[in-house]
Amino acid sequence: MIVLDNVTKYFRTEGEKKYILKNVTFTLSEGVNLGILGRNGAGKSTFLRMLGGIDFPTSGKILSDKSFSWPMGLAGGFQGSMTGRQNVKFVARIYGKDDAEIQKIIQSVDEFAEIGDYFDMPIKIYSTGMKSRLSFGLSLAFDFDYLIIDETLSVGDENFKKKAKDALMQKIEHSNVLIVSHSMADLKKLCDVGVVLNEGKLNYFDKIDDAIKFYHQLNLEKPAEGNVKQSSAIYCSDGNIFDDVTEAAKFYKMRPFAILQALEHNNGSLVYLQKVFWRDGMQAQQYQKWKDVFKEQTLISSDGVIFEDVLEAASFYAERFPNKTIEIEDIKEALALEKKVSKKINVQFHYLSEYQ
Amino acid sequence: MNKRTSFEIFKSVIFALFLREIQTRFGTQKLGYLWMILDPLSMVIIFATMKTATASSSMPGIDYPVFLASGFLTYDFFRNVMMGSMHAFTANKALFNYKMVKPFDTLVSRLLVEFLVFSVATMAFISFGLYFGMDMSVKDINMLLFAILWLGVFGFSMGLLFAVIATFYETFAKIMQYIATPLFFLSGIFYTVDSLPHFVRNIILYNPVIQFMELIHGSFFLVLDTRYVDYTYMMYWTIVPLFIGLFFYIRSEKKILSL
Repeated sequence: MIVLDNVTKYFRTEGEKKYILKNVTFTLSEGVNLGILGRNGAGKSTFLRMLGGIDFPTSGKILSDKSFSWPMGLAGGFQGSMTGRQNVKFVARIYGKDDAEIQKIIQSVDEFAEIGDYFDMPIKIYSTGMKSRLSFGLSLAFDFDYLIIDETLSVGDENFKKKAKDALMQKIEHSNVLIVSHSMADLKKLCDVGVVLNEGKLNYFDKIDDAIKFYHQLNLEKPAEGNVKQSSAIYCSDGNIFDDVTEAAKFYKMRPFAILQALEHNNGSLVYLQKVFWRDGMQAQQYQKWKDVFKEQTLISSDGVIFEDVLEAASFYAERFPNKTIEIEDIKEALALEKKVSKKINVQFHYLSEYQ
Repeated sequence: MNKRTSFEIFKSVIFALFLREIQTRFGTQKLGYLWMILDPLSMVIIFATMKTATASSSMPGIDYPVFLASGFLTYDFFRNVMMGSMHAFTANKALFNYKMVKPFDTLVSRLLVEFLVFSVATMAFISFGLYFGMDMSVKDINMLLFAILWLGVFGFSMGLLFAVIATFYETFAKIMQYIATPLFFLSGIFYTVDSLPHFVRNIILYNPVIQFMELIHGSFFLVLDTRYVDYTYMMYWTIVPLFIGLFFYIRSEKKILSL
């Protein structure tokens, strides 16, 4: 159980108080996994650290008699000139482990991290991936009532991600998590309840799904300033909201790549579906721009990609097929043909104005 | 997890930090531990040769290198404790993610590490001196040890105060670096207070460090005494910064933790 008693936390920025929590009283009941949502800068990480007892409210109290992990996957606490083994020993010692326990922890970290001989080399020569393997393994080697996770589920390669998630799921059987994540899918998988931080208020939801819904609503009502990706969520012009690309793809029975391509290369437009997609936190307007700047020269290829003009199309395919030396002339030539297919790359081109 | 008492936590954190500090400071290169001894030793040799070369006023009844080493090793110990503390909070910032590591612990562990370095260097110098047949006899060993420990506490309390100030005013550390340099010459490391002219003596005795040096020299060498040492004055310099430092530390611990 974690109790927040009239907690206020603010930062001073240029003389102005920026509230993260304002007079919040709240109790997190025993044995639930909490997901923390909020827009960039809402103070999710600070809130998480306060729950874990390594940051403190400006006024009010946070009470709990449980044990909390350090922010999982934290690599900052490592000393670069010490070896992985020495760093692991250091953390074990802080927690007052005796020699036998230390040996056990070292063994389990060594097994989990799978970094072989690097375990006995200075951390400063590690790659980022190796560091996160080590720190994740270290967090898992201890038993805490609550695991503190701040955006660390997305480090390393696919193999490691899967391994880390499996290990985490196993760990959750005995302990609970407090997690900040931009991946709605992860939140749904790991959490029971959720809170959404917004302008100093803490909105609590019994079901994580409701928290995610509320959070989406918040973002739709008031798009963020600037164009910063806020979470894995994908918004569609037909009003649907998806937790991530995979879910959206499943819903429209498309390949996930098609939606990714739309997001990254086509200003969000997926002509095949005649819909516009945009990421959470991005401004929808910009993504619908192609509708307004609809020019005579606007092209569409049979790949479903939309280009402002011939030049853009040429550079796009030149990049895609480096060995085929595509030039503007090739595209123009294709457009002039009856079938409108470029022989070089076997792609059909149309002017969008003529295309139906 | 078993609940540990706060003293048990403090102990294990200090121990872990202590080993970590030693490993990072001396264990990273080969011969790393050797530098612990070579560093102060080379300074003593350099200063002793300089003195012999200039052949200025010698001190009757004292082997000058021994005099030099006693001053130099202890001053180094004091300076490292005081100046090293200033960066302790920022340097160990990442460790505060582990809930049980408090900023104060990093200062204590540094004090212990400096004390270890000092002890090893001193032992090395004693063996070195005995080998060359220098006069190493000590007048009052209890008083000498007491003076060194007190100097450590003095350095620690200054360090604590400086550490808290330096955390919130970055320029403070730079200013202190400038002040610390002349302090080396004003602290009676290579001369005695008695050998100074009367008017200089009255002014220089306001420096608390020279008082400690006088106490150390006076209780080490048979021919010297501690007549210029003002114990009350030294006590004020130890206690006042310690309490002011603690007061501000306790008030700002949470701020330091969430830097």
